[in-house]
Amino acid sequence: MTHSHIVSSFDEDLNRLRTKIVTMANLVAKQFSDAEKALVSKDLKLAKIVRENDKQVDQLEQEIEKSSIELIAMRSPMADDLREIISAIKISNALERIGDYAKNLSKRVIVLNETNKFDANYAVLSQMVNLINIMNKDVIDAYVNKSAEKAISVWTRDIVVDNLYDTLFREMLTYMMENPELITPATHLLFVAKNIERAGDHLTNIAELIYYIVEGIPLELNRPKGDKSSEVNTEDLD
Amino acid sequence: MTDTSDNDQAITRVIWHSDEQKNRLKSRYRKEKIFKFFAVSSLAAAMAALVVVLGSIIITGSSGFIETRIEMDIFLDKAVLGDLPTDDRQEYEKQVAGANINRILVSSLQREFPDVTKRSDVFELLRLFSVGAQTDIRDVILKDPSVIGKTIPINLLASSNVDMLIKGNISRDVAENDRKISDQQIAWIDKLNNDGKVTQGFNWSFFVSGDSREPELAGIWSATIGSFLTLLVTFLIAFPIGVGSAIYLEEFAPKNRITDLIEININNLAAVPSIIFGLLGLAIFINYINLPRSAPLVGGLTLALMTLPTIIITARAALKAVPPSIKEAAIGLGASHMQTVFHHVLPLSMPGILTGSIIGMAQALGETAPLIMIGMVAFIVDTPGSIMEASTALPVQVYLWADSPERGFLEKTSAAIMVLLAFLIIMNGLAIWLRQKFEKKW
Amino acid sequence: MVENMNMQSSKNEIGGQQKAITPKMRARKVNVYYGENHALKDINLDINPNEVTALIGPSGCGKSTFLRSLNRMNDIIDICRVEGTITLDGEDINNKSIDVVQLRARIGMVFQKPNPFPKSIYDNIAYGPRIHGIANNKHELDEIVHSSLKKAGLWNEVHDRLDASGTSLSGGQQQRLCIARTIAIEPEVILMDEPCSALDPIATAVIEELIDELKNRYAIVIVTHSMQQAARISQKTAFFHLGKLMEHGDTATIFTNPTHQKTRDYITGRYG
Repeated sequence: MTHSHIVSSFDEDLNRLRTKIVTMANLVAKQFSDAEKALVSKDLKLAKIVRENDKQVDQLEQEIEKSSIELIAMRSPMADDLREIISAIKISNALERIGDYAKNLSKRVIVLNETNKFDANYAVLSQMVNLINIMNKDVIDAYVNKSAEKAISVWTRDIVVDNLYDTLFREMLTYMMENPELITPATHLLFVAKNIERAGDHLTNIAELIYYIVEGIPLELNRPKGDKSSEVNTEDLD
Repeated sequence: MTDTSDNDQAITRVIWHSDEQKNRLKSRYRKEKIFKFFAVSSLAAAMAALVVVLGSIIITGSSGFIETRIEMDIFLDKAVLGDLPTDDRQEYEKQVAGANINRILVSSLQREFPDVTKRSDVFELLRLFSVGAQTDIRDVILKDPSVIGKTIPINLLASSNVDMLIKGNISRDVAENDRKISDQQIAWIDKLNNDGKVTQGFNWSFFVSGDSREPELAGIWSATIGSFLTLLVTFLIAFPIGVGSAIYLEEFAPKNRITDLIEININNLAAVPSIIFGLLGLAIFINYINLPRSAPLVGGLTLALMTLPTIIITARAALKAVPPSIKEAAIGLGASHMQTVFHHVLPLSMPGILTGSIIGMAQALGETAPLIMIGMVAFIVDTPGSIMEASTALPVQVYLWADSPERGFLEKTSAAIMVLLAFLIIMNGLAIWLRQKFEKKW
Repeated sequence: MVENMNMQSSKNEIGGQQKAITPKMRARKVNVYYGENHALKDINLDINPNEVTALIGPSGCGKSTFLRSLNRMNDIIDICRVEGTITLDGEDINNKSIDVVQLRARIGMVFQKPNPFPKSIYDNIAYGPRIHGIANNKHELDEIVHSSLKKAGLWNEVHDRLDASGTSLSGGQQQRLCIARTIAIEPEVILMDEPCSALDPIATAVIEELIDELKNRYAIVIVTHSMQQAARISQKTAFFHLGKLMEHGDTATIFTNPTHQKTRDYITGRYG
């Protein structure tokens, strides 16, 4: 569909940029699953590794920004090239945020480890992380193949993560109401869940960017929202 | 892009310092040298030919600007001249013109050489002088009436034969019968020469007098005027018509077969031998329209016909050389086609047109054949006063003199060629000057 | 396609409200032939007043031919034939009742190579007003020359040497002189055929700034090979390819999200 550029080194530069985005997305996905693993298995060592690896994510973000700016300055990109390069900056920003959430998750492993009284069911959390990583994989797939449909599919799937978060939110509130001693770990777990849910939001943003790259117009459909936690009142829980 | 690997294989690495490369370089330089050699030698050959031609003309011709005079004491005898009315100038001039100057000269000569008594010897003695010597004496009388009755020294023009002898063009070693001057005459000359009576000076009359049967009296003035009038007619006819046709053909004529045909024929006309134009002029202007024979008008018309193609071709080239961007600029501003041509194209091409025209004129100036056809080859002494009077032209004058048997005309021929060449150089110089002065940069 | 284009060109969003603009020039079903060669095919394009319309496309795509059809410069080429209608303020410019000389005064043109007349700066500008009899006396002519030079941003550089030859100026100055010469006869539309292709970037920037200013008074159509230039100075862009008008619309749209694959390949520098 797209022809190659007459100046072949432009194509090479663009491909390098794309490779970096893919690398960064994969790294972020690994960070997430590692953080989840550390959380579930209370592995402090792994948690530490995740925190340290976040520097690599930041590093990649900076590299992508730099390459993008250089491409704009030197190649004067137009139309889809321009959209792709500008989106690359935004995608790397979003991925960096997701990386930060992974880091945040791993940070909370310590506290949750100390408050050993709470033996929470991590199944929902694991499910959320799993979903996030699948979305991550699919969104990168959409990016590599310049597929608007795949981007839309990722975009619509966020509602599942939202719903899971909503469920978890209610569950934690219930825990806290029943046993005030669990407020600390439950709050932390709430934040963990919130972070995972935010990562999902960022992935939908990336999906929107991919749609913009491919179609040239913003995705203007109404995205289904599943997070109703903002409306939840403790009085309604019973 | 996919076949880069193939390309890479196709390129064999060049080793720049290999013997093969060195030889290639050498042969390249050798070829350059050979070409340069041929170019320079052909140029040198051309220069040598030019030097030889110009040199021989200058060597033969330069003496043509020198005349020989013999100073004689002339007794302006009142008895011979009669009673001249000195107070009435007109009558005086009329009577001087009718006076028997020949007798004055003869008696003065007899006084100088008292031993010459035989009639034939006196005649021989008289032949040392040109017929123009009488004019010299007459001029002195006309200038100052008070000299009448006195004996005064007058510098008299020597005859061509004496002139040739003094210049060394007639050899004394040749047998008397084979040369135009007798031993007796040589003896007289030598005596006069020893007395310091024989002098050489610049031949002004060559420039101010017309043609003559006597080489020492012949001049180029009437031929120059004839040429000038002829060229004037040529220019006035050929320039406007030529430039006009060039503008029309280049700018306005529809591009079709008729225009192409006209173009081809104009180019062909430029290559037609000039004598054909002469025949044409003879047939049309003289036989059909009955214009006067030998007149600069007819010569000018004929040469105009011959020069027209040259002017049209050079003018078209000059018009074409005006960059289209200038035309577009004018048209883009809303100038009409006519305004574009006359406000911009023509002024910009004028230097080129003038250069071409002057070169065409120079060509016409040097043209002989057509003028011979229309009778400008006749022996005409008088300077033409108008374009309708019979006249000759410079190149025809050269032709005429070159054809004359007298030894004296040989140097006159070369001298006339030098004058003609000078005119041509001046005209070509003018063309170059015009081009450089008015050439615009765009 | 045509309808869509009309929608784009006849409406202009100002402050959220859509305001109808009457195009200054309209081309409808314009076909141009050079002998057997069909150079332009069914071109429909509107030129709006107070806007810069950029014509882009690869060499030989017909954009210059189209530009030259707008002021009938193609008339001087014998084998050129123009079909279809081109109107200026609703009048067909190819109509017999339209005087081509006056038309070219109303639609000025600036060329690729700066082409000042080899005359003085003053005469270069005064030429147009003189042949059209715009100035009544020397004073008015002076006034026109001065104001044209000022409008073209050349006054400060040349006011002390109006007698100097136009060709003695630098390339950028020459081009501005040509623009001054064009606006001296108060045209309504200015056509520019790659006006900056022979200029350095600074001179180009000065001309671009000038074009941006001039659009407040004239409708401007510019042919350019520089996509960046088209993007910088034009409000509307038309992309020509193989004699066809492929796409036409707001410059911002064309350069961020062109509809046609050919346009996209061209402006992003790809094999088409």
